[in-house]
Amino acid sequence: MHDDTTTVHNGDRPNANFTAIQNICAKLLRVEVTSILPSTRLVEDLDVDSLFAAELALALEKNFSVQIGQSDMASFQNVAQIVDFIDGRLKAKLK
Amino acid sequence: MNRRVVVTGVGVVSPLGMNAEATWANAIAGKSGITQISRFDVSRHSSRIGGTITGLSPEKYMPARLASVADPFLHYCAAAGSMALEDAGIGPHDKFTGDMGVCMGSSAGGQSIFEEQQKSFLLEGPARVSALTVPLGIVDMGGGFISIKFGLLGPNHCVVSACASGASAIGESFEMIRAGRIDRMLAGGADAITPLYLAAFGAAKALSLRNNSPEKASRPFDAGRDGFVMGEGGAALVLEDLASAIARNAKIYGEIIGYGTTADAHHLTAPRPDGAGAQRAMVNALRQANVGVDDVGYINAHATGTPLGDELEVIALRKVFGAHINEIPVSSTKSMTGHMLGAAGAVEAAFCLFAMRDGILPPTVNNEQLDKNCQIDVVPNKAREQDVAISLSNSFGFGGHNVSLVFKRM
Repeated sequence: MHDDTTTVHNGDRPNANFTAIQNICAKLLRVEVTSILPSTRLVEDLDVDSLFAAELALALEKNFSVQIGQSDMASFQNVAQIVDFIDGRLKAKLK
Repeated sequence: MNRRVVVTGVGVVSPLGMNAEATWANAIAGKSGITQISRFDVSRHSSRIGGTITGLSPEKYMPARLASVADPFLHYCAAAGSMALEDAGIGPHDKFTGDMGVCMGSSAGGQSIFEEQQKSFLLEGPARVSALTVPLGIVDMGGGFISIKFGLLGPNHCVVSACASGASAIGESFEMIRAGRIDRMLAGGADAITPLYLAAFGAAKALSLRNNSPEKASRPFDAGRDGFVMGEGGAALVLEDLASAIARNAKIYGEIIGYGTTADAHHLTAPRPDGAGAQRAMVNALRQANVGVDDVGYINAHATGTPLGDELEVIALRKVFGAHINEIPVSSTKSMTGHMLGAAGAVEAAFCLFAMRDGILPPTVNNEQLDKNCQIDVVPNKAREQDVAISLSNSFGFGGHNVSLVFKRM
């Protein structure tokens, strides 16, 4: 397992976006919510293929009302990177 | 030299049961699989009844992740195909799968995926359409999925001939094995009832409107019939070159000895008024089987319960069998399963094989008053014990498809 070196935990307060992403991944990929950690890898740990990567992107886009390009999705290796990306997009929208 | 082709595995998921033997037990018990449709809102449909699949656990037959996004059509293919292969003693990627192909027919494939995605497309735009739309929606994915799951490396085909698809798939697979192109094939069909499909058959005025008595609605050959009842499910047979089946000591249900396939070349939906297309399909199948009309001991009719179709099938049967038709039991198991569309020909092939194996003929239920134009022995209402060595199954489809298969007890 990789270290959870991410922005996911804001002090002791869990990142709400992480929780939502965790649930989206668990529902789509049919795995336990608790098995999805920031360090969980999409391909190696969750067996996400190109079709389910596109499906995951669609589910995230719908949930967060953001756009996720094909190259963005391809660059995500773990859940934390998705959380960072979504956090960044949502903050940008607020500005 | 043409090879002999036998059936060594059967898998069925139907309104009568979640496997082949349960389906058969309920068929010979004369039970109806027709109920109110509850999987989706049918309150505005003209026909609100169907032979639906309830109680199937698709994740038993495909990865849970795929099962949760797939159309029921794909669930039925995966279930029927997997059960047929297991029944034949053929496992995933074992020594028999290299010389095996697949041909699963369907009329509409993963239609509900397209219906759902069309909503996303219209409401939210092209960017909101799922990447799984094509792979899960296309009609050939039933066979494709089985091929991937089991490692079937031979022909990977799909036949679309509307309600004859399952029978066509079996016939075409039979010919491939017979000609020596492949040793074994998984062949059959599947279809699912979807909201749009139900509405569309309703619009075509093809469906029974007997919504208040679902179990009485499918009544082929009966004077009170008012259209067919949609059914759904999947059925698959493992077909095998006889020598290969013997070499691996496979259980053999029976032999396929004839396949006839013709076109009506007449109308989009209506059968030819003279029954000539169906007649030629039966004649061609019997000719290939090299059996006489008096050799046939049981006929599983296409008869769906439409006023016109049943009558014309009887006309065609009379033309083929002459006076012998009065001696041959002819039942429509659609009276119990509903019309399983692309799966119909395959589940009815299984019924022919089981009837010969067990010496018992499945009935035509809901036969209260035999139509004056359908005066044949329809095995009314109750199964009948009868020794049968050769049986014939008819399947017809919109577009003018006529398919007949002839089976022989081993």
